[in-house]
Amino acid sequence: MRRLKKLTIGLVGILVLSLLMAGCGSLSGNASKNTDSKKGVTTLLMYQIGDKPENYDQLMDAANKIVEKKIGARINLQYIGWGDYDKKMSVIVSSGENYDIAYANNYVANAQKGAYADLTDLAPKYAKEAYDMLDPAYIEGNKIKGKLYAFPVNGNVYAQQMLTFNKQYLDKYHLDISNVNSYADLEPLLKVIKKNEKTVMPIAAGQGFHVESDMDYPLSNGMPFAVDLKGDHTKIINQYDNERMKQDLRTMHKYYQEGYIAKDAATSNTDYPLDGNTWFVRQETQGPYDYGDTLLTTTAGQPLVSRPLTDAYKTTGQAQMANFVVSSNSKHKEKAVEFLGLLNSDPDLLNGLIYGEEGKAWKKVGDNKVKLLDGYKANNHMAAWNTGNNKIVYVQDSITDQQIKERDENIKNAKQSPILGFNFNTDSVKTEITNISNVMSQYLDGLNTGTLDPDKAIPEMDAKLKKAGYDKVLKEMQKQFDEFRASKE
Amino acid sequence: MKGGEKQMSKKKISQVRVQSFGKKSDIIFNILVALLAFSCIFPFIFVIIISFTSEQSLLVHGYALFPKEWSLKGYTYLADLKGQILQSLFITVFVTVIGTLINVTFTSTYAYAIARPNFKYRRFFTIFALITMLFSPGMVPSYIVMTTLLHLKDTVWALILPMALSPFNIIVMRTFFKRTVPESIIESARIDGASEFRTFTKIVLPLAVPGIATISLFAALGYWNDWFNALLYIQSDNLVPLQFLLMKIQSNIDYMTQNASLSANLSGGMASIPKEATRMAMVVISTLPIACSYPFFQRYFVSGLTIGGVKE
Repeated sequence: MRRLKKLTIGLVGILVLSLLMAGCGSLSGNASKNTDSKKGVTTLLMYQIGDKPENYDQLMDAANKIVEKKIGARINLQYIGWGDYDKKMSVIVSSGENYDIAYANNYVANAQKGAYADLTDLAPKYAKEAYDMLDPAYIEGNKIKGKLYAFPVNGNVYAQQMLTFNKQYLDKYHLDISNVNSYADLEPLLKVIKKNEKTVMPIAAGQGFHVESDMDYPLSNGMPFAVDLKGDHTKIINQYDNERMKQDLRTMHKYYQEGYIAKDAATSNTDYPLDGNTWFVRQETQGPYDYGDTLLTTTAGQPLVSRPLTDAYKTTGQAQMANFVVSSNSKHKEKAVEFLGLLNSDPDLLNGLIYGEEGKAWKKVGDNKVKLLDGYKANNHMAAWNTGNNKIVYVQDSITDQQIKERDENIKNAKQSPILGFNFNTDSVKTEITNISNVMSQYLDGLNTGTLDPDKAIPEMDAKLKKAGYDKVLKEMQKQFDEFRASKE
Repeated sequence: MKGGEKQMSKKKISQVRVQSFGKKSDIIFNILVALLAFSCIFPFIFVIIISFTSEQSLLVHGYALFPKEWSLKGYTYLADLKGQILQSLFITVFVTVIGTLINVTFTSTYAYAIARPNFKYRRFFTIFALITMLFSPGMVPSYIVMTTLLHLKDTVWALILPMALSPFNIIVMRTFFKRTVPESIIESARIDGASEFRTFTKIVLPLAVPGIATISLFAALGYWNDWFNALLYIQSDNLVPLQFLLMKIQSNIDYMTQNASLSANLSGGMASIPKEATRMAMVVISTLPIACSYPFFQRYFVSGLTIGGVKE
């Protein structure tokens, strides 16, 4: 009896304590605070990837004013964290829960499942202005069996891999990078850094680092299927059997042995902050809307310079970079498309989201340029790449008209990847794909970070891949690819 | 003579060691157990050390038992996040306390009912509970029930109710009631005129305290460490429990490293990720309270071994 009393007293004590704490905590959710439905106004539920900006309420109030006036709808924008997005969206999709617009995850698979509304006709009809501004590569790259299921964000339609250098070290040791065109060219520079800067990691590489060597990947860059952009455009190959790729991997292995790459690179997820001074060279992806190193330098807050490592190509991966899809369960499909059209064509709406509050975070100078003010902070605005049409986003005043002209010309002249728009249907080889990706997870980080010796590891990996059913998948992929090419001609 | 006898018996007591190990093996076993205990607690000590290491020395030298440079930065950064952390801690404590109370109430009453031999449907309800242990409906159906049927999405109840009844604990408690509460005691209470409810609260519960402490610990641990329900059902950031906050940071880091070459685009996300030492400081903060509650429960575990001296 006494024991029970003590236990109860203890528990009640904790309860009282926690209720006291309730003074500073609240128990009702704050996510739907801002979206009280109004009569006659449709509220669209939209899921977005990432972290909520700190001034979310303010941003959305301003945006909703415009949206309500123009198309008679309101947006309930819900954020789901970067890492949780895949898990959470796949439950939402498979439970058939109602939502209107979402940032697409697993675009191809979900579109094939029928989770998304077919926008082939809706998009040109309800979002004409924005649709016409899209680069044709976006539409081609997002079509699945001839149908469009997404409204892509018009942005970096082509991309190339760059080696980005921390300029403070280049200046300090008078290093010249104008001849650096490959991993192998880095050696003399790395040597200097390694010798003189004890606290700097010469190459910022960790888990997820990929050696890039002018390849395009039908599945993902972690799978051993590729098309050699500098070789035969009609054949799917294993990139790790390609001599050029092997040479790069050997270089990385050498760097690893020299200590230019962290000893635990293959397993570590240490980040080398862009704004820090802990790294000398890193690999970055750049496209036309980065305006050279301008964007990188702005984000880093310190001067960075880059050298291209690969050629620029319009790829499926770039086309599907940031897709917005409309749920096939949505009750307001037309309104949703109308909103996507507005978001991608109305500069006031979009810039208000991307730069934050006008007058406080930025002010407009000239027709399409902005000057950033002190109120512009990293967490007080949305990102351009996954929000809306980059073409109507105002550029920073440091960017010249010449640069803008170059950008448009570059986009026009960029080559298209031979596999742009090729979306491999994995239905008949699902088991093999899983097996292959299991094999790859053993070797991927080890090879790419130079931890493993490619001359030993690759034959070993190939033998395991063969057992996992590589040949069957390759045959099926080649077959589908041949059909895809035939249909294009 | 009498005094001598007393001395004899005292000697005898000090010689009870007959049944224990010899001195040498005693030392060996002690060392073994000490090693085992150390290997259990070592990772946590290491985490504490990392949380006090300076960020610079983490980057350059990696983790070290004796870091080159100590720093309180991890914790001062946490102090900056005070609002978020305190709110999350509050949610976790609230969910744990309320959830444990609910869980223990439901579990023990259910178990008591099916433990009584004169309850007609006890077999049905036992199997009813067992079935949910063997077959689970899967994530998507439970999600549909929670969101569209019960409309619990994004409420604090979505963190409590899914774990309000645990079939495993029911079975544990049923067995416990059967073993420690003899039918004759309940019968005598009935003869004395106690109602069923009175019998339960005044006679059965006090006898079952060790069992209840055990399942409370199970339940409390379950609630404290649960992050999956939060991942599924919680959208508002003021309802995020501490463990999910940690989980979120970890999965954000994984995402960032997988997309390392997009750092210009993802910088917004990068900015929100606390540094290594801060993450470890969060682990410390989220583990300490529940670790401290262990001794509290342990008392009842020990007494659980001695109870049950009622003679039939």
